[in-house]
Amino acid sequence: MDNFLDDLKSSWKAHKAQTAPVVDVKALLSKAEVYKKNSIRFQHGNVMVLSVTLILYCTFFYKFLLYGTRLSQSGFIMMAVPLFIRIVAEMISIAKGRNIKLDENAFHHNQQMTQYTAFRKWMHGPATYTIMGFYTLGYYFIMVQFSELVSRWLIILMCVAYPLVAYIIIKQVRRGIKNEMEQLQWMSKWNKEMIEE
Amino acid sequence: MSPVLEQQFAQLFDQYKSMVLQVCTGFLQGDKVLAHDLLQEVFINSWIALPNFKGEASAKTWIYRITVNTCLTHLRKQNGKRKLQVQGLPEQVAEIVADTSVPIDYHELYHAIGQLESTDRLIIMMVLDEMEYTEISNVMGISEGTLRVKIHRIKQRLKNIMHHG
Repeated sequence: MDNFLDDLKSSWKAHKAQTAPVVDVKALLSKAEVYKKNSIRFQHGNVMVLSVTLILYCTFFYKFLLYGTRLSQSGFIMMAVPLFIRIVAEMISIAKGRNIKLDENAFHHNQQMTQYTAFRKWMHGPATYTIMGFYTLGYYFIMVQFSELVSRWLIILMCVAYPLVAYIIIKQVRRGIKNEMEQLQWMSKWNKEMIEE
Repeated sequence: MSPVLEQQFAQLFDQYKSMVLQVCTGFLQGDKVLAHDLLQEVFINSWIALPNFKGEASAKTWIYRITVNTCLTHLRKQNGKRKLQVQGLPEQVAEIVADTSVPIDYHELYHAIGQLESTDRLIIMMVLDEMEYTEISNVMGISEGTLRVKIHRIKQRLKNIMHHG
């Protein structure tokens, strides 16, 4: 067995000497910097979009909170609070993601990734569905008073368009969850195999 | 970009680029194009992690940890999307093979490694790279005892593959 392994080692070593990637280190560094910036931009992008949505929403509808009926006040809160919770969850997710270090050992790294993916799955699954449920109720609560201010056709359009948009969002969410489920199963199987003798 | 880090990175890249490329190629069952992409990903991740490198482990162990984690991340993302074709390997690898003075053809070795499970591939490549068992267990995060059992099985499997195809 040892001779066999020694032969493999010399073959491996001999090839390593011939293996030299043609990559310019300066170009690679620039690429790494761009990747790092894009990654930060992408992470914060979601929070930014959600925050701007919340600010715009509050600016546009705050009158409902001040002068509206109980129903539209409840509607406003039911739409604004879940959006705020989603922003907080997104920020927690970013913090959790930053704690994952690629220079940890493979077993620990996989455990960290499992926890992170499980959190993302919860966020994209039960949390998003709950938030969307409240959001939808709030939306239709507000529509009652909103219908006194705008034309009937616009109200019909808004009421009909909402389920369509919600359907597209739910479809996207389900696709994301499926992918996260597969990754979780893979990671859990990998960790089990690693500690098995 | 800090010039000190830049210099440190350039040194690491120069010293370990061949090792990382070889591991990536072995991991990707001989796919040279993908291996080059993965090599770049490994070093991009190394650049991001470099400010945290305190020298507690050797540079080789550190780079290996990043390489293994990057390879496994790649596999996790690809899970189910792309099945690598082992049958197509000898032709792909044939381009790299040149040295006939070594006891085993490199393409034969690649072909055999390619038939192992992904984690076993990574472990055996570290063994072939003459890493100490302590270092390998440090990279994989498993006990030395478990690692010894695994390596023994992988060697037997590899021997079977190489002798019986």
